[in-house]
Amino acid sequence: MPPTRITGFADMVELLAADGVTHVKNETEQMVQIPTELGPFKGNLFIRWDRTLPYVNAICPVVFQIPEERMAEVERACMRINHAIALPGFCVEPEQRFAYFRLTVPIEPGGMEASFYRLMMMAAVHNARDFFVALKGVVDGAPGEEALAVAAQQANATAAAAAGSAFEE
Amino acid sequence: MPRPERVAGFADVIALLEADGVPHTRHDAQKIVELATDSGPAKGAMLIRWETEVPYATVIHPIVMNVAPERLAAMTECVTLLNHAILLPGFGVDRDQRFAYFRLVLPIEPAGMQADFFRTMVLACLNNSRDFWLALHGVANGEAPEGALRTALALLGQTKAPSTLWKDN
Repeated sequence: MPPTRITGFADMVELLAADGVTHVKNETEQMVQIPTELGPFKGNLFIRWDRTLPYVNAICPVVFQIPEERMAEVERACMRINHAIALPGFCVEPEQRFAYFRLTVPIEPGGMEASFYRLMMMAAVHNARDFFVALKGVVDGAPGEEALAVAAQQANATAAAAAGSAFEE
Repeated sequence: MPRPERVAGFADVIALLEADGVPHTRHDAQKIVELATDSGPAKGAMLIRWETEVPYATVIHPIVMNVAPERLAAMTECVTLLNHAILLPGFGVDRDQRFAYFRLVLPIEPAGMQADFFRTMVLACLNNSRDFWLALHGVANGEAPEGALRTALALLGQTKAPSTLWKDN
């Protein structure tokens, strides 16, 4: 029987198993790693159950090996995107120079409804996917200020393509 | 109005504030409530917005207004470093209106969030704003981001757990 509420790391792992989600768990770190592939975005979702605070962190690295000279521009892009979207969380790891999406979900003492928890973990991956192309573009030389517009164009194109295929059916 | 056990809508936010005797100004049409804040150096207003399209409550505390155009890059760098370092990220910069803020997005499951926990998270927004208030103002006034953050983090000793004291307001 899968858990109906997620109140700890064990519930989290049990839900993944019940859902048939491939994952690697690290009990010591209270973390799981889930390979993800959604459209152009291929990577990993890391979910960490915080031991001391009532938070679960869902972290999706988005672009790696940002050249030193592009760091400021990627920071600018993350800031522009975070300000505009409903669920912010893009950031840059300053030393290893990669961009990621991190969603910190507060979990009340009674836990979180399993279906809603699943939805929020998916939201983290969807955000990573939706802005992957735009952030990669910034790494490759596009202006950070334009990242949001690029992502919006891409979303429109995806929606148009989906509408087109539905029409053909 | 009875104190709600769970916060599942804008009316519950208002009921909770009224039951707890927290002064506020409500804007029903926008589903926004404004709280005056005075916590250490942090003085201003915190907004709680109940989202209608997505299952979130957004808590926002503006921190530095009128950031000079030539300090926006440093402010963006500072906020990036800060979000990467702390347990509950959410600092942001509105690059058009040139102000820095803390914004906490609380995912709210269909049954709502436990009222005491909701209060704790609203206070976490205020506490984060307070704890890094001077650092962000310092950066706006010409301080280097890394130095300002080093000082702020040293003063904290460590990143803090959210307070549970409503009277922090």
